[in-house]
Amino acid sequence: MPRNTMNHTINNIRPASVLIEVGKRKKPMEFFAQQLVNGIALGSVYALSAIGYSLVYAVLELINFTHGTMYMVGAYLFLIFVSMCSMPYWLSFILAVLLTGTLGYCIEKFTLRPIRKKKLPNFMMLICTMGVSILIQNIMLLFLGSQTRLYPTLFDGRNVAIFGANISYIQIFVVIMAIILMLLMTVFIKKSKAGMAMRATAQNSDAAELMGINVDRVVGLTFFAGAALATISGIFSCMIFRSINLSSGVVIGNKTFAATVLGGIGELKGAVLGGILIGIIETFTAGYISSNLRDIAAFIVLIIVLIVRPRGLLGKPVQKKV
Amino acid sequence: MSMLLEIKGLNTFYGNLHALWDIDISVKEGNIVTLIGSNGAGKSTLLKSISGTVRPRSGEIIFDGRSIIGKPASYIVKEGITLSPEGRQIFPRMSVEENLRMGAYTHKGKDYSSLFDRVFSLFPILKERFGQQAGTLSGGEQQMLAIGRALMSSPRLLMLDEPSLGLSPLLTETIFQLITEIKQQGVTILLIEQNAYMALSVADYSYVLENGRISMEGKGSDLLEDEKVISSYLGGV
Ligand SMILES: Nc1ncnc2c1ncn2[C@@H]1O[C@H](COP(=O)(O)OP(=O)(O)O)[C@@H](O)[C@H]1O
Ligand SMILES: [Mg+2]
Repeated sequence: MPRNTMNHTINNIRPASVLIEVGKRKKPMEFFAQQLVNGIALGSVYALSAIGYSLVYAVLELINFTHGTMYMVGAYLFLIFVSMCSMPYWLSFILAVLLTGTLGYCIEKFTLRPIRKKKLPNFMMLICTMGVSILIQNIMLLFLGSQTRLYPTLFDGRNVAIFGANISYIQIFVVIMAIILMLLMTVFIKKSKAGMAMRATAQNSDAAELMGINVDRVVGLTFFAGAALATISGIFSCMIFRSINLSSGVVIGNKTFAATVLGGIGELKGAVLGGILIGIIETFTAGYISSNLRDIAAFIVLIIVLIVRPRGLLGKPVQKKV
Repeated sequence: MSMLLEIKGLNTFYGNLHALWDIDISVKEGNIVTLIGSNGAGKSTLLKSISGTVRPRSGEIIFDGRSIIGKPASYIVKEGITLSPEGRQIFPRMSVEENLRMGAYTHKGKDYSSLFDRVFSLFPILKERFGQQAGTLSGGEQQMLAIGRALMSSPRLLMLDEPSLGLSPLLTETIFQLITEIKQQGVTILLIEQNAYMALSVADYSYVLENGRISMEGKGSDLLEDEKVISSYLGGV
């Protein structure tokens, strides 16, 4: 990775669609395997993002529009640390995750908490997250410009052929990392004291307070975790696509929403399933129908789900909070 | 014995609604003190004001010699006051075990076994239901879980908001039996009840709350014979 990447604008990026073009010349089974592999890799990135999104929803019943923005901020921070500051990947990664997590925490503390304290309706928080997103996006546009940039990756784009599908090392790496992170998150939520406090707050925040749980701290921690997961998802997916663009945050925000609703909002397993399904649906649409439709496919599925099964695949029946 | 809890001149508002007017209440260590009053009188508001979930506007709340008014709920639990709220408010998608663990959130250390044992000795059914989702318990079991969960914080003052709400007369009797047992373990109890007869029978001392004001107070046995109490709260029998 040359040091001056930040100054380069690339028009000829090599996203997954190139793989698909290559794939089209393959035999049907191999083509299928290729789409599946691409879909799972993409889906595990969506799943990571969806877990964070779902956590925030579960705790605050809030559709959080800053999520996609955190994804972008985190991914750009990594790029800046690696390309401009020449920091090692691992350090850039940790810094990007911590800084963006802190930004998520601050957004909650300084913009959402006052609304919550005044017991104003939830949609006001939603509008607030929209405003904060637009603000951050415009600040980034000002400093970074709208061009697409080359993104640092691992393993120099090497890949292996398995069953006729080209699997890049980075795809394998991302899937393994995603599985590890999902397992860690599950253990954290199910077993740790802080994770239990999060679930308790999600199920009944008044009762959680009576247990001696500091609900503000739990909500802050949840936003930190949500932004951190968005960052990890952002860095990984940009590493796979090898490019980044300011609009990617909006797109991923929408797809994360689709994944979360598809799997069942507020459910960890649902977020994982929804993410992977959206990834697969997307690559199959691109491969078998048209790559122009890849970003739309997820939403067609979303609309169908909302009509047929509004609670999502693994979601609990919709019930009002008492 | 000394006063464990003393409230003086307490006023609480919801916006412009003046819910509690100059409340004076004392709770003696080791006693059961009950608070009766009709719906909307302000009983729950009083317990919420003590537990820190509602902020009083003025007055004093002294617990064990220290002022706790205006402190956050998490602080008050650590001080030794725990509220088992109206309508049970258990965590429905958590197991019985997890609900109890949440009750012991302020407990320092990793060993919960003596806390669990104490709850099981009072409510053996919770031991049987240990791994079950709390939302699937019956109403009576949920109430026992709510009280058990409150006890997990080892409170010195246990506040119970209408523990018999929605329970059969037989179950209500059981719950009151258990409440006296908890008292015998040395826990001071402040209890709200719609079921005035039950409340006055177990009480060492009682207060009647009417439209946000204390209208009467006395020994439970005395109030049980008071004509005004009989006509307003005991169905005129
Ligand atoms: N969260 C609230 N916001 C506004 N008013 C409330 C709230 N909670 C209770 N009130 C009002 O305060 C008064 C006392 O309520 P409450 O303490 O719940 O009575 P009780 O427990 O004796 O039935 C009632 O008039 C009730 O409508
Ligand atoms: Mg009440």
